[in-house]
Amino acid sequence: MKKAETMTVSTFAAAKGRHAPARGLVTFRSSALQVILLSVVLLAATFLGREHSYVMNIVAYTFLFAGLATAWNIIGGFGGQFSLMHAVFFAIGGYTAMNLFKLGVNPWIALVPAMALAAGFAVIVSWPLFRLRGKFFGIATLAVAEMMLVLANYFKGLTGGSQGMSVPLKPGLQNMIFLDRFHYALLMLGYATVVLLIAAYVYRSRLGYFLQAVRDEQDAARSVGISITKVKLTGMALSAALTAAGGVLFAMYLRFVDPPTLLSITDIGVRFLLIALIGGIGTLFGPLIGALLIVPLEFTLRAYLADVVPGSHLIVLGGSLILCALFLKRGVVGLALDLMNRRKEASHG
Amino acid sequence: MSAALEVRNVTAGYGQVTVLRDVTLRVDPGEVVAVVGANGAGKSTLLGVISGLIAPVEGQVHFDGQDATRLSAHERPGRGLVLVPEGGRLFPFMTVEENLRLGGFSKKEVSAERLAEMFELFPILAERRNQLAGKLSGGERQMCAVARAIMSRPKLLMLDEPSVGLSPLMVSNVFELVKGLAERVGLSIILVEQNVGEALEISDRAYVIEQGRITRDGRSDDLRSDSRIRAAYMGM
Repeated sequence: MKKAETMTVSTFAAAKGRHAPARGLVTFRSSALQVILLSVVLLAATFLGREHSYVMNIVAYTFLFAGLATAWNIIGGFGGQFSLMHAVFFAIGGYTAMNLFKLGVNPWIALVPAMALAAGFAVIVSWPLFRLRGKFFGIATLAVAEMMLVLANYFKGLTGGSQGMSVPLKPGLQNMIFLDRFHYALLMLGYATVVLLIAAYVYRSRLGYFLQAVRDEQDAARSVGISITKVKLTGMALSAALTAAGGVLFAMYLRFVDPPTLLSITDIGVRFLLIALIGGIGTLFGPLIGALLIVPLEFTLRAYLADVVPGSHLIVLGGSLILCALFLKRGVVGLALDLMNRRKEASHG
Repeated sequence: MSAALEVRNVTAGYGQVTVLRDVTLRVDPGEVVAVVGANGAGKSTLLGVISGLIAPVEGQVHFDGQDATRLSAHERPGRGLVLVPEGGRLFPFMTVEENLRLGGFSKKEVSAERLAEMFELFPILAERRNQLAGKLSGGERQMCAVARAIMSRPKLLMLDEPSVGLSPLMVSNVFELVKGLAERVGLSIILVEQNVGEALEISDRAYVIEQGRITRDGRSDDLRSDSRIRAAYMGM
């Protein structure tokens, strides 16, 4: 209990444990516990399906995108900055892993430069872009993503151009290459868990409060002394670094990358945002729930519908997105929270 | 005694539009100064300049004996210059307590006891402590905004139209509070208001601002009995 106190309170280094956390308040410890419990449940479920290679592929993708959407949510959800350029950070991760692998550096070590590069790039690019607010920021990031797609095709030395790059099948934990998809599913679950824990910590940290303050009331945030630019840049750098880590894992899973795989606006860049949107933007577990719903749905639709009428799975998917945007503004998790609150209020009379 | 705040010959506006012209005013330590005027006279722009949200085209803002004109907005609360924006501008998805804590973060060492003090000063906020700020009533919101602002023990508090959207009873409550704060906590207050009658009642001195220029200033009591001001702003 003592520790829980210091956790919440240390979010504002100010208080020295004199005030217990308010009852009912979400603390880092309680969310961390939830993250770990959820991960254990997901781990058990993954074990059950380990024999089915097709299922394990879906599971691996689901966990990877859960982690990626959670990473996006740090700046996009907590901070309200609708970045459409996260595919670029993802690609930085992927290409860094591929290039270093060729030089004999294993992908675990490649995580470090990949994350650092993405964070650095994020800061340099976002600095001018953060002068724009709301949708104008979104449009500008979209332009960055498009530009990088063109550049990735052009700089063949680094990216292999449109032919792409691949790494040989050298199985081994140190190479992050496995013969069994089950192991990839575990790897991706580990990634999602780590990202969720970091997001849970950020959510209840100073940075998390500052991001939310900046999102909701920019001028008020400045008038209590928050440096808007610094907060946004920190959130963006962290989000970018975590996205790049996902890019490393993705590259080692496919062992082949080309510009459309890493930088496609519709398949990658917008997907982080859509998963978070459906699950619940700005909530801790929204992106995870969104990924659990959307990724398997998409695979299933593609498997069953795409054969009947080509492209029809996209129509169904698009339709459900529109419905969510219209009727579930705070996503599935937001809806659940609202219902819970309503019940609580009703029971209090 | 040197002034807590001095605004010297400030001209400011938005883009091509000049809103304030050559405005000069001062607030002494412990003083409540009202800036009154009609809608669009430039009152909020003036607070924007003092709080650093708007950079003046000309002129200076001196605070606590130092030139603060070039300080950016987020550096000013740390120096003791805090704005309560119009409508309170609370962080709606945070609880009352979280709002208050954010208000105090620029002065780390004071926050803990300060929070307890705030709950003593505003019992209603203690009751609402764990409620989302977005769900507060208008009056509570304004109280919470004031409490958030004084969490960091400012030297000068800027209030932008605290009476907007409040019932007449609530308006007197809030003003009562402002006056009490100035006396009890000993801070200077600059109060921007359209509600001229009430503002003149609780302030020590006042400036009248018309179309971006200061046209009158003096002791609030004198201005209150001035027939032209009564006719123009108080409907008498």
